[in-house]
Amino acid sequence: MNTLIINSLGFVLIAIIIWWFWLAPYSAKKHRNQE
Amino acid sequence: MNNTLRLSLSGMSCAGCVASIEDAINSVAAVKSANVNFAERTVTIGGDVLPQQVIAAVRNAGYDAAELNGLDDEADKDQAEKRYYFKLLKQAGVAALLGVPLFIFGMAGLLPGLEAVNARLFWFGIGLLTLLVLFYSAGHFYSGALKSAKNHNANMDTLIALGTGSAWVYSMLIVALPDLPVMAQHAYFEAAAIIVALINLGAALETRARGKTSKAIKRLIGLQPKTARVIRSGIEQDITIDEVGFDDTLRVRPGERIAVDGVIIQGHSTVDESMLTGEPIPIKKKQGDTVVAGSINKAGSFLFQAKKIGKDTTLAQIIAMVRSAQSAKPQIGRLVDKVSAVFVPSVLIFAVLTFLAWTNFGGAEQASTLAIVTSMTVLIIACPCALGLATPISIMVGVGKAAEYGSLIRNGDALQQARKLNVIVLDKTGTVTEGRPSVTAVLAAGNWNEDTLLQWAGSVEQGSEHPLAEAIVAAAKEKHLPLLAVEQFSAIAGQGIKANLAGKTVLLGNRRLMNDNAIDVSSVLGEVIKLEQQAQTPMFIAVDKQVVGIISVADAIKADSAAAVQRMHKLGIKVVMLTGDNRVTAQAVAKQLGIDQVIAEVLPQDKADVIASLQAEGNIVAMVGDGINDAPALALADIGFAIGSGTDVAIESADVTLMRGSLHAVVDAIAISKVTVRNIKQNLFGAFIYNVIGIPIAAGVIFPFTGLLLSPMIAGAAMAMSSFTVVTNANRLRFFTPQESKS
Repeated sequence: MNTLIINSLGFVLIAIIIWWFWLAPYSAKKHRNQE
Repeated sequence: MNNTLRLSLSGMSCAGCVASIEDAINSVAAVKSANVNFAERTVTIGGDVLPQQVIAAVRNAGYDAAELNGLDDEADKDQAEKRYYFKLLKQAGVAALLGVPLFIFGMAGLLPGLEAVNARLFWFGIGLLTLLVLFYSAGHFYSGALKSAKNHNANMDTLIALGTGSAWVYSMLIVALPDLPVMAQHAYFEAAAIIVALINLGAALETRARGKTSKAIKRLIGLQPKTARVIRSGIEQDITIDEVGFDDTLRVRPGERIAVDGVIIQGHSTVDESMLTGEPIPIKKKQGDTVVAGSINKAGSFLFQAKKIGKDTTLAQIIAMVRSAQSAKPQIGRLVDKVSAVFVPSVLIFAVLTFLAWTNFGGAEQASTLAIVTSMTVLIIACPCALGLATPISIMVGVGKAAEYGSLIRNGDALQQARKLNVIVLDKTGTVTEGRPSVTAVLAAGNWNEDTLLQWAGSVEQGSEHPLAEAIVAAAKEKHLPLLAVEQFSAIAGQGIKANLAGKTVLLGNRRLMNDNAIDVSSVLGEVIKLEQQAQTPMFIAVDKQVVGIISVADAIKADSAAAVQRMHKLGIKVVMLTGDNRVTAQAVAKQLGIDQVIAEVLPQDKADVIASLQAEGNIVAMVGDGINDAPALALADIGFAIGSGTDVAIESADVTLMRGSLHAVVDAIAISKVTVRNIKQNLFGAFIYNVIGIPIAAGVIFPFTGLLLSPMIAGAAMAMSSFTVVTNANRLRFFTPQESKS
């Protein structure tokens, strides 16, 4: 049970890292370029 | 107009910051370009933009910036770096003061376990003490990490903050909650403190080594005198350099440095310009000659009029050129910047995956210990700094070294091309030769005498700026022959001159000019061929379509040209001479120098085509030249070398400007480029291999086979040493001496 929670948290963390450091700045840049 | 602005940056911890600062500055309207020099902690911005706007953008991104204006600001920057160095040492010391005793006592088994309540109280106290130490010694990592995270960036701060922060939080948890079932019963306070101590120590060493890399530019700045002796309304007084105005009269006494660029109006002397040009012999200067700021007046005393002041002096321009070259990024550097920007988030993901892998497959008993230790070690060992520093630090040292030998490398890509070079094209006049031709023979035909011939030749040539024309005019003046008025003067590119004198049409030029005008030259041809074989340039003079004589001009070959060509051959480079001169003369010169191929009788506009055709054969071609007519060829060549005494247009078109006239400077620049690129590659290879090997070992890949796990403290030491190693390797370039100077 513990392992399951840790695994889930781990993958959520990875998703957050990808979103925060790649997806969010990329879409912001795209938005700025469109302006 | 495109202005440039220079700012000093602070708060930059790592290569990842380069991209975030450049992004932040580029988002300011009117900014055309932003180029961060990570090694120097500066940014050069192009575009009509207010400094305040850019500084605000940099601050928004979580860093700080200040405008760099003059030499005083540079000195301030030096002072700030020094203060930063001592601060880092202090921070390292404080962290070590806690971490080292904890580590030693722990190893010796003198510290209590976590079972008893008293022992836990002790550890709780240690935990609080560690927090204080982290606050003092690692505060800048945490605030830096937070700032960059807010801006969707991650850098070295992020890794250190997460690594040491997770160690502290984990240790506090097991001290406070001893009943947590999955946690290993070991506190990592000493690890956090020692890691912080080592990383601060590494940063301090790096800062210090970095200071040495900008020695070349500091040496140039040091050439600029602070004061000048000006004569205004007949009164002599010492004033600061900023107060010197255009056309001011300045006195220079023996042994003094010349303050600004100008023209001598009274007196004469010898001037040592070696620090600017690398030319070792002092040059004689008399009234009317130009003097440049930074050179040393030897024996005499003279007065000169200031013609270039402030940012316009040759010295100031050299400093600006070296500076922009030091910030130049060759292709390889741009690629590395891109990699560095994604490096840290990738490491974060890898650390999480490592944690999960050990949690799942680490076995029931030690899974949590392995998971926490390995993921922490991954965060600590990964070092994007070494990667980010590799290119700019070597370029700074390499370009500075080249400047020391009188070569100003203006284009970062030129550095990379230099090692692939296999053909060097040399312009003849002014490059291979002195560029100061003189008349060696005047032969009259028919009923003309030599003086009249020279008088007429001098008269038609007086409107021309060609070096051969200047030689003829000088010869006529030397014989005190009065120059006559000419009409309808026209210069025919690559051929000669046509003009009307005393109602007659005079043609003066090479064989092509005579052929095109259907003039018979057979009567003087024998003499002409003889002169050509002696490496002279004979010119025909025809009056009303009749050849009346020849004037031969020779341009002495530079004393060291042959030795320089030999050095080029040793590098495996084919040497080609390109000239508008006739084939026989050119071949005679080539023979004396051992030049492989001669392309003669080339019209100025065709020089670029010759380069293009050499490139089409698959060669990487360098062009060395000095004239306006060389500019297209210089721009087209893979590397263009402009002789510094040449025209501004040539210098603008070239990738490398040679401050001294010797061809040895070309070979020196190539040699320095080669070692610089090799140094960059060593650095990149080292940094890459370090991360490629270090990160998996930190993740525990060898643990299942050997039972060995990398300690987070060793990881901290390795991380601290990696950047220092890169900077030290780059500093080795400072001791490089090109071959010529060795012999």
